[in-house]
Amino acid sequence: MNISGLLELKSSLELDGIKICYVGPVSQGILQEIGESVKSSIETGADSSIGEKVFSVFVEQVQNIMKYSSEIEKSDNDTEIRSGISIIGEMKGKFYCVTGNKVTNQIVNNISIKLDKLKTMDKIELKNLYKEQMRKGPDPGSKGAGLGFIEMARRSSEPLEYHISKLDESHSFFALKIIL
Amino acid sequence: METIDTKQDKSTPRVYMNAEENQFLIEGRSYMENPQVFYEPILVWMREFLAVNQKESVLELKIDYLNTSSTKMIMDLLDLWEKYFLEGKKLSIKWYFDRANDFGMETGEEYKEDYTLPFHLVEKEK
Repeated sequence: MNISGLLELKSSLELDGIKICYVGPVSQGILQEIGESVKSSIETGADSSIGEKVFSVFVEQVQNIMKYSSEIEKSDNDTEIRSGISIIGEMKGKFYCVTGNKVTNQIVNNISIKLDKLKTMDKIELKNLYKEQMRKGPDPGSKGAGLGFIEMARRSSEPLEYHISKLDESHSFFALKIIL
Repeated sequence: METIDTKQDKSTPRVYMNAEENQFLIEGRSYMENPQVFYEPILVWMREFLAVNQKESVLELKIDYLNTSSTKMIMDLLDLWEKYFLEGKKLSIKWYFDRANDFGMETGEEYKEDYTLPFHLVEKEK
C-alpha cells in the first residue's frame, strides 16, 4: 500500500468508531485471539454483560465466514480456510459488529429471506424461534445448527441491517451489521 | 466405563465424566468450530451410562459461554437426562452461573424452562 494514505485510513476508521478491523482468512485460532482480547478490553471499560454479547455476535459472524465464504484458500496442511472482513466498533455509546464476505447467489437469496423475516420479529418471538429451530435441527444446506442469525437478532438492540452487492452471475458480497 | 477427562482451552470446555465416582461435569467456554465432533463421543458415553445407572446423579454445568452450535449439543445432552428422569431415574441438573455474566445465567434459565427434571440454578462462589 501507499503509506502516504495511511493517516487518511486511520482517520476514517476512527470516524466510524472502529476498534478492530480484520480482513483476510479466518481460522478458529484468529477468532479466539481477537474475540477474547476485544471482550476483555470492553469489559474493563463497560459492564461485562455487554462484552459477552459483543463476543457472541462476533463469534457467530466469524464462524459464518468460516463456513460459508466463497473466498477459499488452501492452508499448509491442505485444509480450506475462508476469507472475509470483520469489524467491531463503537458509535454513540453502542457497540456494533459488522461482517462481510463473498457468497454464492443461492446462499445470499436464502439469507435475505431469513433476515427479512427476523427483522419483523420481537424478542419473545425470536426466543421462541430459537428454541423451535434448536429442536428441529438444521435446515438442509446448513453447516451449523441454523441458529446464528437468530442469536444475532436476539442480541441486537436495533433492527439488523444487511446489504448485498451483486458481483457476477454466481456470486455476491454480503454485509451484515448488528448494533448491540 | 472409561472416564472422560478432556483438557480445557479457550474455546473447549473441560469435560469430566466418571461413572465410578458418580461425577459429571462440563466447565468452561464452548465455541469450537465443530461442536458436533466434540460432543458426539460424550453423548455416546452418556447414553451408555444412563442406560445402566441406578444411582442418584447430578450433571454439573459451569458454562460461561456457548456458541449457537454448542447450545444444540448441550440440549441433546439435557434431553438424554430428561428421558431417563421420566423413566424414573433420580437425576438432576446443577447449572452454575456468575452474577456478573448474565449471558451464562440467561442460558441456564432458558434451558430450565424446557425440562421437568430438577434443574437448579446455582450462583458460583467467588
